Amino acid sequence: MSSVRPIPPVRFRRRLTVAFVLIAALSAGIIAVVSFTLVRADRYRSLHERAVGASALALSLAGSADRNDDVEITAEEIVAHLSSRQSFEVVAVSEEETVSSVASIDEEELPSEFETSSQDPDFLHQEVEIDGRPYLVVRPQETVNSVTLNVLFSAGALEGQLDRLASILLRTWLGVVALAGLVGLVVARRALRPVARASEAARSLAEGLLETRLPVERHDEFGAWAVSFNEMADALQEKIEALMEAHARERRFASDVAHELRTPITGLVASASLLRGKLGELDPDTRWSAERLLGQVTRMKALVEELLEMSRFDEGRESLSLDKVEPQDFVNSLLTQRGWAGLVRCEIEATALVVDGRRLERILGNLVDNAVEHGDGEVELRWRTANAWMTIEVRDEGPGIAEADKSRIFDRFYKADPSRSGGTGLGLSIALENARILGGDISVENLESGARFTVRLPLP
Amino acid sequence: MDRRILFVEDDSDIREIVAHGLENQGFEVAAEGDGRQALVRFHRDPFDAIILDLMLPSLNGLEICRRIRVDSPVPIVMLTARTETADVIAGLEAGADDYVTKPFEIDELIARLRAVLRRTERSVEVDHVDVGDLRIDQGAFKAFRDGAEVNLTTIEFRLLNELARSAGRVMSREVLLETVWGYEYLGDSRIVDMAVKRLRSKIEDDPSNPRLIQTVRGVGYRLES
Repeated sequence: MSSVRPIPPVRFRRRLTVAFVLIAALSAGIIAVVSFTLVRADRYRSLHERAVGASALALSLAGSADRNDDVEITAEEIVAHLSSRQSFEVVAVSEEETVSSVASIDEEELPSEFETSSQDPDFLHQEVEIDGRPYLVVRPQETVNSVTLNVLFSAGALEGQLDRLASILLRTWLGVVALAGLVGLVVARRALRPVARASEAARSLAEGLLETRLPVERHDEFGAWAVSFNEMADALQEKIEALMEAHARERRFASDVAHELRTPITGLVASASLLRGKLGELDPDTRWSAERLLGQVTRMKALVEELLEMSRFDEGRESLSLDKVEPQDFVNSLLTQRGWAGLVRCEIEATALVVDGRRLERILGNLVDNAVEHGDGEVELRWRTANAWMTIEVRDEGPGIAEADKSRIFDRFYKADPSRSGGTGLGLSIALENARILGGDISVENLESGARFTVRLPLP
Repeated sequence: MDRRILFVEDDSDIREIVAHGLENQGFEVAAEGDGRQALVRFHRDPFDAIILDLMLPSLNGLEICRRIRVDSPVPIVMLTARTETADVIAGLEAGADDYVTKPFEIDELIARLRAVLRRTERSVEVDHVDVGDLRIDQGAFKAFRDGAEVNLTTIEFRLLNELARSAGRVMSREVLLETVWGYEYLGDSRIVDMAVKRLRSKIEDDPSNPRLIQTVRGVGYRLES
C-alpha cells in the first residue's frame, strides 16, 4: 500500500474561495470606480454651470457699476462691488494692480492657462488648488474697463461630498469582498463535500473496508460520479473477495493436508520410537533399512510440524508468551540441544532481556541450522544490543547466496540448491514469520566469503 | 510397581501403538476411544495418571479434564494438536498438569508421564514448611490452610512446595519448569503460568488480586513469606 499522504481537501477549497473573492472584488471595484467617476463628473459639470452663470452675473454687475459713473471703474472698486456676494470670490487684475476679495489669494495663485468653457465660449475656466483648497476659477473673455475678472468658486463642499461618497463606496466594497469570501467558503465547501466524501471513501476502500460506498443524493455530475465510484467499488470488492476466497481455500487446503497428516505421522513417530529401541535386535540388513526408515520418519515429522506452524501463521492468531532470556545461557543450551556445540563460534554482548523465548529459539535454531547445513565451515553467531534493538548475526563460510535467490530465499519451500537433500525449505520462512511477530525483521547479505543473516528485534 | 494409566485417544492405531509402548515400559494401560466411556471408566477403576487426547467423540478432552478435576487431583497429561493456539492454554486451565504435542516420541510422553507421577523427595530434616497460614506437609504430600486441607494435584503441590522452600525469593519460570516438571531450559513457560493460576484459585482469598503468590513481571513468581 502506498504511503503517500493524502492532500488536505482544504487546498482546492481555498483556491475556489480566493477566486470567488477576486471576482467579487474586481466587479464590485469596477462598479464603484465607474459610479464614483460618473458622479464626480456630473457634480463638477453642475458646479461649472453655476460658476459660469454666476460669472456672467458678476461681469454684468461690474459692467453696470462701470456705466453708472463717468469715472472709469478700477479693479478695487469692482472687487468692492462684488465682494458682498457670498457664493464666490473675485480677483480683479488690471494693468496697474491686482485686487483680491480674499487676502490669502493673489495673482500668483491663479492658473496661467485656461480652457475654454464648453458651456459658453465667452468664458475660460480652470480647476486649481489654493492653500490646499480646491477652487474652480472662471475668467470671462470680456474685460470691464480692461480689468480682467477672475471668479473663484470653492469646490471644497463638493470634494467633501465626493470624499464621503468614496468612503461609502470603499466600505461597501470591503463588505462585498468579505461577504464574497464567506459565501465562497460556504459554497466551495458545499460544492466540494462530495469530493471530500469520495476521497474518504477511496481511502477506506484502500484500507480494506470493501463495503464502503458513496451516497447518491444529487442528480448532477457528482451524483453520476458517485454512481460510477460505487460501480468501481462493487467490481473491486467482487474481485478482491474472489481472490481472498481462492487464497483462503488454498491455505485451508495446505492446513487441512497438514492436519490430516498429523494423525498418521503421530502413529509413525510413535511406532518409530518403539522400533528404535529394538534396532540392536535386528540383523544388519534389516537394521540398515530400519535406520533409513527412522531417518525418513524424523524428516517427515519435521516437515509436518513446520507445515502446521505455517498454517498457524496463516490463521493469524499468534500470541506472545514472554520470558526472561539470558543470552549466553540461551545460546549455550540451544547449541547443546541441537548438537552444534563445537560448530558455532559465539560472540555475545547482550544482557538479559524479556522476549518470547520459544519464538527466538525458532529464529536462531533455523538460522544456525541453515548456516551449518550450507556453511561448509565455521559458523559465527554475534548477539548485540544497541539502543532499542537487539541484533543477532549468523554468519557462515559457505558459497553465499546467488543474487537471483536472494529475493526468494525466505519464500516457502524455496531451496536455493534443489539437489541438496534434508531440510524442508520452510526453515527460513518460519524464522522470518517469527521475527515479524516479534516486531522485527531478518535480512541477508553476501560477505567476501559466505553469507550473513541479520535478525533485528525491538527490545521491550 | 505398576502404575495404572488411563489412555484416552480416538485413533485406534495410535491407541494401540502408544499403549504398547507404555506397556513395554512397565505401565499398566487401559485405553479408551470415547470420551464418555473414558469418564465412566475413570470413576469405576482407580488410576495413577491419565493421558488425554483433546479431540474426542462424544465428550472432548477439555470437558473430561474439567469433570475429573471437580473431585480428583489425579495427574493429567494431555495430547494436543498444536503448541500455539488456545488449545494448550485451555487444557492447562481445565486442569491438565502437562502436555505433549502431536506428533510425539513415545520416550517423550513417558518422560512427561514420569514427571507428573514423581512425588517430591521426602526431605530428611524437615517434614513440613509453614508460610503464613499455609502449612505444607511434605511427608503426607498435603497442604493445609488454617488447618483445613487444600485439595491439590501432584504438580500443584510440588509447585507450592518449591515456592515455599524459597519463600520470599523470586523463582523464575525456567527454574520452576525444571524442578517441578523436569523440563530442560527451553520448555514452555505457559505451563507454569497456568499452574500458578490454578494454585491461586485454591489458596488465595481473591485469586484475581493475589496476596500469597506474587507475579514478578518478566521473571517469575514469589511466595510471600
